[in-house]
Amino acid sequence: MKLKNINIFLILFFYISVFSQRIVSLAPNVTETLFYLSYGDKIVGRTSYCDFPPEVKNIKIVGSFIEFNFEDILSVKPDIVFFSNNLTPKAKTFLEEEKIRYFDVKMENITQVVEGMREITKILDKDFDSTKIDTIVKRIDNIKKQNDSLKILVEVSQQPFIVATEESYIGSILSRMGFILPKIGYNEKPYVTFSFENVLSFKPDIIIFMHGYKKSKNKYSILPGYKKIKFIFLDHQQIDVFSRPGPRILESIDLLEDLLL
Amino acid sequence: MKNKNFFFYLLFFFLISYFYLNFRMTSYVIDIRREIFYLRFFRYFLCIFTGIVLTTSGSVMQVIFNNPLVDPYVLGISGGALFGFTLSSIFFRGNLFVSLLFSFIFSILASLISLSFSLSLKGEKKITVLLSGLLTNILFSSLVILLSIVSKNNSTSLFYSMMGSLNYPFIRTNLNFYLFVGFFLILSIFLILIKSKELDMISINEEIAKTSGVDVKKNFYILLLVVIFQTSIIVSFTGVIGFVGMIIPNIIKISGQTKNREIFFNSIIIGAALVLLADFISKYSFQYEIPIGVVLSLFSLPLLFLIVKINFENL
Repeated sequence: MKLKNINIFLILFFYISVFSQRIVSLAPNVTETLFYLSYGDKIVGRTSYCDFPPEVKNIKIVGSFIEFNFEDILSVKPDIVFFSNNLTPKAKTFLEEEKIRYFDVKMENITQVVEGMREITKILDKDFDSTKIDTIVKRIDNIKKQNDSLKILVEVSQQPFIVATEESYIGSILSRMGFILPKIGYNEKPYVTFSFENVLSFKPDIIIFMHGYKKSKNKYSILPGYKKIKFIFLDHQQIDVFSRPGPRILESIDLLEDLLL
Repeated sequence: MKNKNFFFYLLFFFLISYFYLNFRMTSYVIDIRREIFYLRFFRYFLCIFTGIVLTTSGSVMQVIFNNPLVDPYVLGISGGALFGFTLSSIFFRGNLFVSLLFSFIFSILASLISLSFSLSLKGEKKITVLLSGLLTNILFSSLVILLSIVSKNNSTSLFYSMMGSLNYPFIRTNLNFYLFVGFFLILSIFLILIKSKELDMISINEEIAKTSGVDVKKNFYILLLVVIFQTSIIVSFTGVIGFVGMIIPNIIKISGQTKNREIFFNSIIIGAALVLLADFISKYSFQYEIPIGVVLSLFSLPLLFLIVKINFENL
């Protein structure tokens, strides 16, 4: 009889410790990932930028991408806090002080997205069917390739002039598709500032604009083969997809294949 | 205390304190309220100290420079302190004492640069001081930006430290250190209060002060050092918060106070209340926090214009 009771308590304890995790997600792409991996109902706090999937609207906002309201974070009583490359020293000291577990899941390029998803499932340890991650891995392996080794320039912003490299999310997908992206020497940052001299020496065949300012096309008119260059403008929703390394990777690969191949 | 205004200010302060500490408290679950109250209480004290220090240092500087338009921010002292703080947070990760020391050293350096600029410029002293402060500010803010670009880590929080934010994560095991720092701040404020009579003499006329036995130069350097000490401590906790020290003492002067002791007492209360109010606005006006410097600058801009206008008419 006693043994039975202990067992019940053990099961209860296990249940509480595993299934009552309260998660605060302080990055939009982590929020998307959590919903994709069906941990969405455990999220109790989000940032003001988390707007996908639509269900997040009911979750309390506890900060922006770089500044977090500590009182609000405390008020939702989280067990785990997720960051994605935006863990500030301030937030670190706060969470260590309050003894809340936190994880900085680095999800920048295409391989890190899969690794990050695995990391998150490992942290939330639940006997989990990995089919969802496997579909993503399969899709990445089956990316269509082009063999012309075209050069592609992804303009992230016009002023300052910033472009994406192979280390960035969109860049890593494009390089898997066989495109060549600009590279600035030793620099391994995902997004780099570019100068127009770099553009002239790079001679892009395709230019993608990740911002809404359409007139910025004009500045490429001094390039030798201006008329042959293919310009692609992304709309607001597509920009969102390409700026958040997460489960919408499926969507973004489809989109790029439609646009470029 | 003779003036009736003081009690009115005190009432205002307590009202804001009550709101600040109790706002939205009932919406939280009971077992978490205690934790949140601790968090808020720490921040409340930081707000009060910030308000007190910024206003007293501003009013002291206005007397010793004989210029109503100076405060630690305008002269570039805060900028130097922020540079020292950024430097220490890069090389000595998060060590509190070292960061305080660094910000103190660099704010001394900044004030020396600022003073030497203004001494080497010819012309109306009231304007050259401001111009040299501007130059020092440009120098140190660009150095801070350079530092945080070179070291990748700090670039995200740079914006909040340059515009000031009271969202400081307190560590309970460091409580003794905070108390220690707070004690020294209170001591420095008392020192200023003791000196208020001599400051009265100086503010009337430096020559008269000299003939009645006040060592103007010595007082100048001692009080400048005290102000630098106070400012560097506050900056390393909150980042740069400007204009509070300039506006509040001037408003009290406009409202009719002339004695420095009265100005100090009144401006301490109003300064603390105003910083509390500004922090309240910065905390709750949007879904996320905005830097307190933005709130203060936006709301104080009309007053600032008024003060500049009045003071330049007397020039």
